Amino acid sequence: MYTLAYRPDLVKEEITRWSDLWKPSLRGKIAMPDFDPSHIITIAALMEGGNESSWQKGQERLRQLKPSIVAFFSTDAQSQDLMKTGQAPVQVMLSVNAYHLQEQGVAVKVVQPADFPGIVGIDTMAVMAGSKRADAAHQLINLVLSREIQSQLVEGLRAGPVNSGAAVPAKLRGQPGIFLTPAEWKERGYIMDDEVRAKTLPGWREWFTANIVKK
Amino acid sequence: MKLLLLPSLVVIAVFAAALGGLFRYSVLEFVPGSLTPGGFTLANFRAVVSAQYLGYVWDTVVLSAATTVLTLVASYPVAYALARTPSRATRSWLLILTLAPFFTGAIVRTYAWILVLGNAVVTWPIPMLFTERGVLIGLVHFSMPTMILLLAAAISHVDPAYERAAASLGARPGRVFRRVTLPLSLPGIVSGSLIVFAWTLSAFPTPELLGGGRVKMIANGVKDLALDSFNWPGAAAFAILALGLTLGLLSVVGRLAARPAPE
Repeated sequence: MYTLAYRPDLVKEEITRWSDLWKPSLRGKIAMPDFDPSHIITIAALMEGGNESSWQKGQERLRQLKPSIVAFFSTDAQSQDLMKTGQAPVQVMLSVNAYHLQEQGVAVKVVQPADFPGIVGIDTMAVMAGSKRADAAHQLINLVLSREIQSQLVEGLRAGPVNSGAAVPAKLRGQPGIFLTPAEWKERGYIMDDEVRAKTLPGWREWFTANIVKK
Repeated sequence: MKLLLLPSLVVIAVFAAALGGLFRYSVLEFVPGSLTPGGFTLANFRAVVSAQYLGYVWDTVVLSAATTVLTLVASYPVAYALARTPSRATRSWLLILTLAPFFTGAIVRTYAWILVLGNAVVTWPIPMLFTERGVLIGLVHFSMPTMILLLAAAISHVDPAYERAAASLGARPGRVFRRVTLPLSLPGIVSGSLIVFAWTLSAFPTPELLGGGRVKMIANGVKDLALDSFNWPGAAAFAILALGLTLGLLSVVGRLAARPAPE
């Protein structure tokens, strides 16, 4: 899940809501992805009463966030480096990356925002049309979605399982990005319309680059 | 003898086929949300001559020119010392220090600069990381070893007797350098500058990592279009536009460099 993560040792005040990003005290401390700005675009739209389909509603709010952004990242590694070195101690960050840093001993707090949920990251598996090994591909997909593998993903990556039978350690239950029931997926995570996202992403990137990334 | 040309013809054919594929993609319609392109169109070229993409081209040319000049200025004294220091031990150390960056990859070197420019090691009075200044420093450092080696080779071919003759006729050291050493090392200056300018035009990891998303050169723009927006036709069109501009620019710079120096 793309959510808020920050370094409490470098940021004095507590961050609990998406709206905290707009606080003047966080100027020059925030990083977010530029390869996929859909998360912050959707959050800004939700804050203005819209959603990903009516994303233009959040444009002005996003422009106000511009002075607070110190860097943009295009890979998970860059995001983690920016957090680890303290160059960008507040981020719109993939929860599994923040948990990974925690395991390395970096003091990162992962936030379950109180005003709007985090944006659920979308990964997909696909079988090429006309594949001669479709059966084998389906077997692989079944294996990836199996209880055993999904349990390992929760334990190893702290990623939310997509198999309701997956074993989730007690210490991870209720953590940001880890959902156990369909109700939790809906309440604690925002799932974008996949078709809107796929068709609008190039346009979002173009607007974001011209209006937010560019100095 | 003709058979010996065969491997190079095969290599040329492979690159020509790849370039052909790039041209083909550049005139196909981009369909958002789909990886399958549509029919013939010139819209991709109209899109990449917008202010945003021409801005990437402009930034690339400016950064490449600045990198070339700064690399030349920073490398010449080192190359001179490398070519003219009488002590073999000092020359060996200079050579080792010059070559050391070659043994670390571009990514590792750039990550080291993230620490140095990002106030982790030094506190800078002005922001360095994620600025064009920081990217410029990274590009100069990346280019220096090659420039030093090319300049040192050129300077070592300048017979010291010419410099001694000028000095014996009353020229001060500065004049000897300006009127004798510098003009005679011009072939190294020209080849080093051309090489540094050409490869900086296609720089990718340095601006990607030190630019923090705010400093983008042509290669970063192509990557953004292809891998982030999944707009392969747009990326192909921008790559072809950039290729044409790069070839044109290098041809102009090459012709200027080949002009005989005024008497």
